[in-house]
Amino acid sequence: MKKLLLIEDDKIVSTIYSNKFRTEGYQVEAVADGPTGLKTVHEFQPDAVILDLMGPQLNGVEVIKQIRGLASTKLLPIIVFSNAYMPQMVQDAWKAGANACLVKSSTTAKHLAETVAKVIAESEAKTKAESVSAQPAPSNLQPEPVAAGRRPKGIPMPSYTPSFDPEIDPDIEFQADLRKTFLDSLPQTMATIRLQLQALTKTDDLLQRTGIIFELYRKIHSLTSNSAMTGLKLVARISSALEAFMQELHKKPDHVNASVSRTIAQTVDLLGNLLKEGENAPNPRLDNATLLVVDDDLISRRAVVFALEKVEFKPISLDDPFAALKMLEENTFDIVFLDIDMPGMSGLELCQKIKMLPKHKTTPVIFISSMTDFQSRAQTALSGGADLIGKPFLFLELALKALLNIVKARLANPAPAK
Amino acid sequence: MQGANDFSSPPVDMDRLRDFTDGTSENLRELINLYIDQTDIYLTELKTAADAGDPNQVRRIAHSAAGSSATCGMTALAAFLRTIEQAAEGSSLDEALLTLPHALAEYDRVKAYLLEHSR
Repeated sequence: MKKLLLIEDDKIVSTIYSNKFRTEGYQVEAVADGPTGLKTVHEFQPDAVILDLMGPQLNGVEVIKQIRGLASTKLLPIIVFSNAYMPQMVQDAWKAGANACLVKSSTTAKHLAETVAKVIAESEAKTKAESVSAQPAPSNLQPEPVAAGRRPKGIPMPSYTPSFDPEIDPDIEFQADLRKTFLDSLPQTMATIRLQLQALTKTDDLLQRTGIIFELYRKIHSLTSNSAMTGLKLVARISSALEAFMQELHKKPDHVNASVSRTIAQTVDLLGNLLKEGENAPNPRLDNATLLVVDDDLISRRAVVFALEKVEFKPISLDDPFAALKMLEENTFDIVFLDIDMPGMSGLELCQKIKMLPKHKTTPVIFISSMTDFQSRAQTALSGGADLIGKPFLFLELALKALLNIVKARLANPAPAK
Repeated sequence: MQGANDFSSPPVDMDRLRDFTDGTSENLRELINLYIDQTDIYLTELKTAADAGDPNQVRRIAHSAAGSSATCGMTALAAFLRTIEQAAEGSSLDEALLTLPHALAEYDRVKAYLLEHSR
């Protein structure tokens, strides 16, 4: 009987995965933190370790390094969960010696079980091959090396799949039970999240704020895990982006401002609305979204593009508002990001013209500007803008805003059924 | 804020700048070079516009330079540039002219710091 060590600090997720693997014939030991995990590796001597890098109580990359640092566990298969919106964490995990890196928001229990079996089999084949010859067996789970000057790639988001796929797990009852338990607990979960968010907006005390952010992060982390396990793909994707954002805010609590609070609140609202639909929640296609960024300043434009690429979007960017208007006349876009102060035509004027185009009557326009006073905000709204984010912005905040607005727009105008 | 320059804190938030480049050193060097090249031009144009007594140009250039400086984590420099922008918006160049030397001194600090960190 193969042995698995699960290092996961969310009790519900830990219980579900433990039970799943036990029914698959594994002996499972589950612990909630890194230090206990490292101790248990020696005592339990598992055939593989499953570790969540995003666990609030864990320093996952450090755990991998320590496991790999010992001769007795140098080759121990390690499968990690990460967040698709944190490519650096993924690269760090590979460098530290992870065997497989899975995106939690899109990994079901079945997929995890298949990966674990594959990694263990590959590791055993490699060990056998090495004992026979000097040539190690090739592995197809190694990451691409990062070329000099290029951003480390995260795990690509999965291409479009329907929101509920009955082939996800042959154990339909298991999936259905899981979903029912999760959805039944949601009203309480969402109410708690909203209360925590209210508390966050009311406090200026940095220590208190850090504590609230941590609690919010734990709740969102749990939401991501549970929605992924139950096949609620869109919820898991949005929750995963919010989870990455909350983790960043935890390191920089002084960055919480009105715009950040609003973005979190908007995301929580959208998640709440989607979760109300339960297993009937729609899952619009996002991989073909088209985005336009218009800013006359090169570095500002680059920053917006950088932020959008974090959530796997590929925007077009222009420095000239007239060229942008021509492009918008000729093409459809899911969302437009505009600077306000531009030579020749201001972002406000450009937005008014955009809103008069039949193709773009309902296209969300997000302003990005250092002018975030009440008057500027009112002007952007009156010109037809959907939102305003202040410079300098947090990259993940802008990424989250893009994701939210594109999802909302696609839900409001679903693509025609084929 | 005409205010004095604060030389006690680093002129650049390197965490912010590294965030912008996902931490790879090649990207960091490229971004630093881009920022310096662009801001050299902005500040030369700013001095010219101030000398020419053109508040509209001063406002526009200060606005652009402030935006990219804030984006890259040069908070103090961005603040001086915003003061210049706001002063020029009121069509009064007096305060803008008083703040300009502070902005230029801060930029010298920024440049030296960036060049040291890009090695």
